[in-house]
Amino acid sequence: MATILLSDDHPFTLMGTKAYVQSLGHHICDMCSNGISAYNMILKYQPDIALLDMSMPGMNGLEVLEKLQTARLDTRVILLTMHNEVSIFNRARELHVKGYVLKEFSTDVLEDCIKAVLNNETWFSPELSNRLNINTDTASDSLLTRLTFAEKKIVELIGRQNTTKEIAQLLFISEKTVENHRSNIMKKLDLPAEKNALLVWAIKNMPGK
Amino acid sequence: MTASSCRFLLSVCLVFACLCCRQPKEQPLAFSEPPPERLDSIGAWLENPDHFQDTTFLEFFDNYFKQQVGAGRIDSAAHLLCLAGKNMCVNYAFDSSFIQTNIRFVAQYGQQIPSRYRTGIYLNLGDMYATVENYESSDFYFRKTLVSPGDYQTALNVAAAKSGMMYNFQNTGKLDSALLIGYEALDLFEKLGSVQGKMAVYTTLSGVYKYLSDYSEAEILGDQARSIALQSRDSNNIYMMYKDKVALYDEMGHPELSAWIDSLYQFYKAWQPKSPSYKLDALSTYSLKLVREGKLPEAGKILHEMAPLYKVVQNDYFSDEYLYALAAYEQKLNNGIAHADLYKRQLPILAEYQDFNRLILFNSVLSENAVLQNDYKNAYHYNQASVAARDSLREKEIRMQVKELDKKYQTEKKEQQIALQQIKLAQKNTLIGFLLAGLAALSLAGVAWYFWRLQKQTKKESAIQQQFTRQLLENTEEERGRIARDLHDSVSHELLTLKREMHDPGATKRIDYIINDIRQISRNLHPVMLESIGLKLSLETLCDQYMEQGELFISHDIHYSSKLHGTAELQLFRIVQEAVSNTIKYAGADACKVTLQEKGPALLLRIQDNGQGFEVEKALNSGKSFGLRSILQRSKAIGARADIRSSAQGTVIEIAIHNDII
Repeated sequence: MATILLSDDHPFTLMGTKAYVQSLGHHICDMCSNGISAYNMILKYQPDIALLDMSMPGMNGLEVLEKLQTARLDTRVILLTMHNEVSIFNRARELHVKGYVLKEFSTDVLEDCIKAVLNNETWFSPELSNRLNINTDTASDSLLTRLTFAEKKIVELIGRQNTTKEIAQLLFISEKTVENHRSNIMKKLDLPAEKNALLVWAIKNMPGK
Repeated sequence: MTASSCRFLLSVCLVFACLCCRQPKEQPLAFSEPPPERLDSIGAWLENPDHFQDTTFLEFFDNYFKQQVGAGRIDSAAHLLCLAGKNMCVNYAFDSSFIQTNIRFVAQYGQQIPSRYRTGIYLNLGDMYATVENYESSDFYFRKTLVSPGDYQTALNVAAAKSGMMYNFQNTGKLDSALLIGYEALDLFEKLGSVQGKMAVYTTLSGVYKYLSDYSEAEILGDQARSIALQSRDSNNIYMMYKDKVALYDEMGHPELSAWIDSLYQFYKAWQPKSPSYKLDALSTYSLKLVREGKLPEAGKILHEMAPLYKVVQNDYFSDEYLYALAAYEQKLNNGIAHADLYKRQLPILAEYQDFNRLILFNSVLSENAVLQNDYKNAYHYNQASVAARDSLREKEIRMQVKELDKKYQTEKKEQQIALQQIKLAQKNTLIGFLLAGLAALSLAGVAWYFWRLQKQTKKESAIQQQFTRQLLENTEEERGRIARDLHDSVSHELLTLKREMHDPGATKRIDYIINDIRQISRNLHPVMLESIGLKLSLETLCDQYMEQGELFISHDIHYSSKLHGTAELQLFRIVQEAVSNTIKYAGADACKVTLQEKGPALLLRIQDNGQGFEVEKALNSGKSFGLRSILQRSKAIGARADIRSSAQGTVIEIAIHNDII
């Protein structure tokens, strides 16, 4: 049983979340629909968990987090949001957010999240940065699909018999970065640590250009 | 110069003037020379000046004259009258009955008499009265001569009459009138080509100027008269010229006086005239020179020789010289004064003519004489007179000097005036110059001001344009942001609510897709929460997103400590979006890199690729490169400098912005 503060500028969402949280047996110390009130209430109630929406009038979720940081309050914050953005998530992580839940999946996972956070763990929606495009790349080779675009590019260049130095120059990155990519690729493709293993594989598998 | 001497000279000249009407002339004439009148023997006889000495002259004339009148030959009678009268004038004669004959004849026959004879008669009358110094009557008849001439002889008579009037004016002290009418006569003689007439006038004019103490002018005119005389080879006239020159130089105290006296003497010796007058005059002048040179014995000898001649020559003009030389000789000799009474007689005449030099001499000689006779009263009296004359002479010299100085002063004054005028002119020119320069400067200033205004205007318009662009961008961004937010916040949430009501898994999945689409749209519209997330994170995410979407290999190197205004950050973000999007579309590059560096006060954003490049200028001018233009515009709007370079090796876009730009 924990004290939880709710904040969301969508009244239906707020109601819904309130009902849900209460059903889990937690105590709602207060509710608000605005960032500034949220921050003030956190200061006032010092709840165990602050369950905040991202986009709120007054201050958004990130700003509240910032302020809490500056005020050195260690209230555990869970962001409950529609924003499926890596950038936002990363920033929130910088600001020591404990939980990040995507609203569309919240009904299933909010309970787990709260539980984890109360346990001093972090819990983030796994669907974060899942690019759900109807048109996904249809790559015949399953191995290739394991690679990121960047990795695919590097393999392509290796296939064209470029040296590490050359690759670094072409891609405006450092040789070290190239090496990192190479080792990652080798791992992903389960290639032996032989000298030209990757080169051979690349020539074999990359469509000729 | 005495009155009689003038008269003689004038008469001589006039005769020659009239006689010379038969000589060829060189100058253009007012009238042409008529053919010489044929005279019968009587006329010729009467005309000859020598015959006047004949005591029967007048009788002879009278008879013949009456004959002609009686016969009704008025022309002939008048002609005879002219000839006789002229002869009388030349010989300095005055006969009352002859004069009456003239007056009666004219009164009776008046206009019948041809003009040339009538004027001739009047001229003669004027001359004759002048010889007896009846200037009033003389002028009366001279004036009657002044008709509008219709022929040569009349014109000549008119000129001669004017000459005569000049002479009268001089003698009555009306020197200005004398000069005036003298020049008229000169002009007329010039037109008639009468050289002799001119000579006579020059001589008289010279005398007038001498009387006015204008010696330079007198000398000039005297020289002109002499040059005419020398041409005419008339020894009488030439001698007279010499005499005039000597008299002038004597009065001036000219250093060349002795030389000219020598010339005169030499001329006389070469000439050897019969007339005793010339002899007396020449030798007297010469002996005066000797006296002055201290050669007394020689002088004395000559004077002694001349003594009988003096008694013979009655003409004062020539005998005066003798007395002058004699007085000087006696004074120098200091051996008593023999001819005191002669000198005494001269005094009043000299006083009248203001001949100071002679007055000084004669008075001092007389004074010495008086002393010798123990007549101290008279001695004192003469001495005083001499002193007075000396004073008068001094006074005259001073007056002359004053006149010279005045002339100089006038000239200087005139020169100063000219100089002043020139200065004024120069000043005026300088002023005009300044005004023109000022005008030029003003117009230049005007032009400059116009262009400055124009530039200001352009700048202002440019600034307004800038402002507008900035405002436009801001508004656009605001709108996009709003739309993005609305889309994301409202629509997404509604879809969420819808999803919760859905129970069909297929439907819920589809709703998830829609939600993601909305997210994508929203993301594309406006960078999500740029201010909260920060530029660094946003740019990095942008690049990663491009990579994940398999668009382009893109790396980033971003160092940013958030010093820019929100608007600036947004614009930079947009620039990167635009640049990368262009690279993806056109470059065909292997990779792209986005760099953000802080170099001192400036922030440097660089987006570079290794694509095929393009022609920057061409693209910018084509009007189709909206993306490129928008990069430039956005840079300008945030006060940054944009630099786009492209080659076959790739493209680099650099944006430089100062950190202090809010």
